[in-house]
Amino acid sequence: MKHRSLSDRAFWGAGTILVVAYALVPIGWIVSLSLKPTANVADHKFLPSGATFANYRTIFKDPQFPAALRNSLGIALIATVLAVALAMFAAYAIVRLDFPGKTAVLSGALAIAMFPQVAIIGPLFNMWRSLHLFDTWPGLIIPYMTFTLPLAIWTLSAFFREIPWDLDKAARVDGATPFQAFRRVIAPLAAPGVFTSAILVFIFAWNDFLFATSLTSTNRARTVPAAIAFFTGASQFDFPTGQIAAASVVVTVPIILMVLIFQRRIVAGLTSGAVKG
Amino acid sequence: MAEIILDKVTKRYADGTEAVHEADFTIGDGEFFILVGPSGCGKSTLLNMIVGLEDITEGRLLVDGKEINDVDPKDRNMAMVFQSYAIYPHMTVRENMEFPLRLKKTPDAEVKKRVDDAAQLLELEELLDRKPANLSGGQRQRVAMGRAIVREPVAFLMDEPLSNLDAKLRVQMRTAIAKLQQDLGTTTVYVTHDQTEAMTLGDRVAVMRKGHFQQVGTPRELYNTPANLFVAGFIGSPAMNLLPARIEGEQLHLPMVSFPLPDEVKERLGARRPERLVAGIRPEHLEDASLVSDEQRDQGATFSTTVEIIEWMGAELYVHFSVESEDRLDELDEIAGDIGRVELGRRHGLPVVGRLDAASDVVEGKEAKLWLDVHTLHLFDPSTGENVQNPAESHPGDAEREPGSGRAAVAAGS
Ligand SMILES: Nc1ncnc2c1ncn2[C@@H]1O[C@H](COP(=O)(O)OP(=O)(O)OP(=O)(O)O)[C@@H](O)[C@H]1O
Ligand SMILES: [Mg+2]
Repeated sequence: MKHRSLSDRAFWGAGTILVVAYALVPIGWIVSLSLKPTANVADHKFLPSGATFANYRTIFKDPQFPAALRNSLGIALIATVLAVALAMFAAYAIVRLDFPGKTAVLSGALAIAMFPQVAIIGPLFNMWRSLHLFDTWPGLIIPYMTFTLPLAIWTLSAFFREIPWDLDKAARVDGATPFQAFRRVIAPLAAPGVFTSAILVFIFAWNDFLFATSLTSTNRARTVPAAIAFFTGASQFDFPTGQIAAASVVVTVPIILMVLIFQRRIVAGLTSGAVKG
Repeated sequence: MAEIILDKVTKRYADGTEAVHEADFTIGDGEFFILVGPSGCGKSTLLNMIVGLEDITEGRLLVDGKEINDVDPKDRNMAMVFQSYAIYPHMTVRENMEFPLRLKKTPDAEVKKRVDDAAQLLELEELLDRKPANLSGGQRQRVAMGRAIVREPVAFLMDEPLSNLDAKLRVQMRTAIAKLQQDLGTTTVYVTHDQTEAMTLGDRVAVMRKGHFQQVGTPRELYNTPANLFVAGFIGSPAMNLLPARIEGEQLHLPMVSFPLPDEVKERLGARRPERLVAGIRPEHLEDASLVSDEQRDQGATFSTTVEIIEWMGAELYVHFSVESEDRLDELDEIAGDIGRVELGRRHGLPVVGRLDAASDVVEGKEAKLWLDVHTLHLFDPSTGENVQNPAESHPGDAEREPGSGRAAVAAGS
């Protein structure tokens, strides 16, 4: 493996460049668009001539965008915390306890994850209106949790299954209550799973457009993806391409930060050394 | 420190498996008590019931006179060493050992002192800041021990703590555990499926088979007066030779030799004269006939056989030969499977091992004259497996404990 042939190296090198370019060029394009003055948006150039932060200034001056950013952050974070906390308990119970209907719970969860979300939008709209959940934070948090819980439960049960049961037992014998054993021994060991599912839930909630447009109507709960659709240009003949691009760049930043922070935690082999090696 | 009383403790799992049947004995204060038996016989289940990780289906468990059937494991103050060690991988060695003390909210100074003391005792001082992933198997084993001893528990429960170590380390740790237990004087229940470990470590040993207790006694008692065929075949290395036997009149017929029933055997048999029997012969009760005195020779039985294999052990010789027998003992098959000695079920050529003095000049493949000490013969009823010579009342149960007798066997057994 040490002396890979030249053609081998060329193949992998070219492949890597291709994949990276495929992923990064659109992002670069959006960044470039966001920096172009409105007049130059359609100039078909990759590098903006006369870069300006005018678009960024515009979107933050409009009260709509900062409100949407606040909503997005709040709703996504709350949905993530709730979904992951619930999923942890559910997954732990599923892995450690033998109760009737265990497989039913798991396959039910999977069915929810695969359910076409667009099919419930209509009924949900009506229900939320009569329950006064329409255009509120909980109105979005609930569907986000519902649709991400299954994935979180599956991810976490895979991680819990890897943790030797003897560790729970050892903690119990060492004087821990069941909850202490969970909190001080099992949860820390499942941390990679917790962060993995947290990222997944967060990204789902952050990126969602469907629920956000259908279940909100004002700045009270409208999130960024929905808000962007409501951007208007400087005049009604002006399409706000530059501002949309700027908003897109802004909403991408938290996701990147989130992944960068947590990916260091998602290290495999955290449980190595627990049992005989 | 505590006395643990098991009063007909039974475990039935939800699927109906009876994993432990009426465990009924007392583990004395400070005693080193061993549970031994083949895989799946219910040793771990019993241990888990004592520590509280499994519910007791029937019977009572008392510690120092108080029933603790329904006491939560965290309140029993017992320390357990798992076969897998189960040390917490996200904590350093020090944190692992501190864990039980922190849960009890022990003051910091006290925690530090106890951990340092335990680390010194187990030679873990240099490793205190390491994570378990960076430790060897033996070191992890010691960390698990350390976590148990810092607590000063009422009892240590150990579930095959040495079975994941290599042979050399196992012997080393065995001695270390024996010494540690002696120094601390803490009641210890130790599970193993290795009869050598059981014999060398235990003050008393309980032999289990399929959830049933076969015999509870000192290693000496188990070795010298096995209650039944299972114990006889399980305890001892090399294992006891088990051969079909018949009594005709006053004569005892073994496959290779016949001789008049010795007086003490007759006495112990009393009026009983079962027709078919299983004779148990310890390897050391065979000897090269030329090495025993004339007087002794007359008291035993001498026979000729062809030696198949000789293993020279330095101080002694193991000779292997086989005998033919028309009597087939189906009953042996089952036991053979249980104790992993398939050869007992063989139809032809029952293998026999003798442990001779190294001075013997027997030669492989040649005829040899061997002598059998008939006075030490064990006789078993094949249908029940019971040792027919044992006085009827010495049954599995509470044998009087002889402190220290287990230790005496350490040198002999290993
Ligand atoms: N949860 C359970 N449900 C049903 N049966 C069980 C359960 N746990 C164990 N058993 C059965 O109970 C019996 C005793 O098991 P146990 O683990 O106590 O054996 P062991 O003597 O410790 O064996 P080993 O030496 O292999 O560890 C076995 O036959 C096992 O299959
Ligand atoms: Mg076991």
